[in-house]
Amino acid sequence: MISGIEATRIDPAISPKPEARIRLVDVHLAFGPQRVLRGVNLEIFSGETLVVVGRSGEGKSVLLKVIDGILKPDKGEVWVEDQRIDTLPPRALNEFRRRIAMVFQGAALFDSMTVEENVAFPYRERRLLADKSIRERVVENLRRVHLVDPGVLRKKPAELSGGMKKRVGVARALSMEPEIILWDEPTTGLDPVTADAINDLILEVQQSTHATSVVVTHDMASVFKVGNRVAMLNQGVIVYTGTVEETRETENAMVSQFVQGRAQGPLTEGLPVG
Amino acid sequence: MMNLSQFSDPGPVVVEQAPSDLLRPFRSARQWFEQACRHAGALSILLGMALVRIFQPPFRFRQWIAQMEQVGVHSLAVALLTATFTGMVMVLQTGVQLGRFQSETMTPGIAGIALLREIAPVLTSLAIAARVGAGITAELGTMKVTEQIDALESIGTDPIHYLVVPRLVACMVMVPALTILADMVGILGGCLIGVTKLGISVRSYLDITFHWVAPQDFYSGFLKTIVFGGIVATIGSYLGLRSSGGAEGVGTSTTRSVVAAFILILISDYFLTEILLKVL
Repeated sequence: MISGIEATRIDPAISPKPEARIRLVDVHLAFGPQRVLRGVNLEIFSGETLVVVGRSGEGKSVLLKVIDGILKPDKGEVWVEDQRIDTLPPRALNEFRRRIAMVFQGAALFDSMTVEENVAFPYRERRLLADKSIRERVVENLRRVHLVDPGVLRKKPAELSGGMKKRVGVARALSMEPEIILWDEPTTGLDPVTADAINDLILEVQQSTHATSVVVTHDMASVFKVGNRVAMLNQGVIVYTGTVEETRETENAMVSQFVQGRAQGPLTEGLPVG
Repeated sequence: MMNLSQFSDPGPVVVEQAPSDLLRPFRSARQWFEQACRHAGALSILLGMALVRIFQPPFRFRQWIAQMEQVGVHSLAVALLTATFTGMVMVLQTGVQLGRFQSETMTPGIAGIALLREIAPVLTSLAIAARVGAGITAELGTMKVTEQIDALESIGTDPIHYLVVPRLVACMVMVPALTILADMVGILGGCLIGVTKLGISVRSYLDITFHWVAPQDFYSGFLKTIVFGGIVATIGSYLGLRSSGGAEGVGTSTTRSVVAAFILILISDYFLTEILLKVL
């Protein structure tokens, strides 16, 4: 198995392709004694939707937070275009982050605010628009995620269903007018119908914004519906990258075990399942 | 480089095993000392970062005022109730004990000085630490474990500027303000007991109080409460921002917040008293 991991690692010494929009070079990150990322090398190209898959607890969400600058790697480099973001000072990083939106697993809506205030928050923080214009854009962004009932504006997050929370989270992300969107488990915890509606929403957002997207999920239906390319994270490293078509037919034993959802295989050798 | 993740719990300090168990108490003491130093360092960094950000735009005055309402207006009842009954007990105890030396007439002066210098500032701050400090930790802790703080950072908003600064300003303004009110109602509560239990007239009680109480007594207590307010907000925010592990983690942080604020207020009170006795 170790040789398989080594074989699929990207050599950091190789110069990146010029169109790579996001580049992680030998990224390591540990929380105390727990080493989560152990040398991640990954390139994400402009305009594509890269889906990162892997077992629960492998550090997929951590990877997104590293790309967004929320977590700093202990070692390695994170590049967005020609800007190295892991060494940016806090103010510059905050400015830079406004180009990147993240949709969180639990939506992470501010529970002291209404839906309107949540979606308006990025606009208000940027202080570029008048109140009337902000309200118009909030309504427009909610319409883009198919929340057209005006009553929803005054609701608090606690009054919303799981699917509605995700939609409001997407609307808030759209308020940032992002060039890059990071989706953390967008369909987790939703019924299949709502999950498929969220997948459609991801595609709609992708088509309307032309943003570069990174989707973290272990929902294979989501992988094949929204992804252009797939990367697999296992034991802290990227062990596979390939197009969606390649992934369907891959002979990589770890990927095929994951795609087919089998308990036995190289992913779980010597490890407890569940 | 400063980053919010530096306030996250980095896990226990690992101390290498010594060959003999006789050294265990020393190892535990060293572990405790290293953790205490680590917390003190992180707290100081958070306080420093928040103090600098008070003067950096954008100035979120609406949030400052909302937090002042939360800290001041909503704590008014508990602060005044505490001060009233403490003033009453002070005068009752002091009056009865001084009666053994035929010195009851000193009661208003002694009670007034004790109230202004120590009792009202410390008890008001402890009441705010229990009510507001715990609330700050619970609110920020819940935001942390539900990724709302990550969401703030993701939007490009500095969580220290947005969350910690308004709470720090509110506590450093409203704890002293509440203490002024506590001073007044404490003296009035004491006066009530002086009149009803010790047989001193209202006029005499207030005359004796203001004869003995000097402006320095007021300033001494007032200045302390600015520091105590800062302690409540900083501890509450620090423990909230490093919460982890869901509801249980937030609950643990909230309890620790109250205990830590109590201890720090009482310890700093001694050192502030020493300094202020020399300065004022």
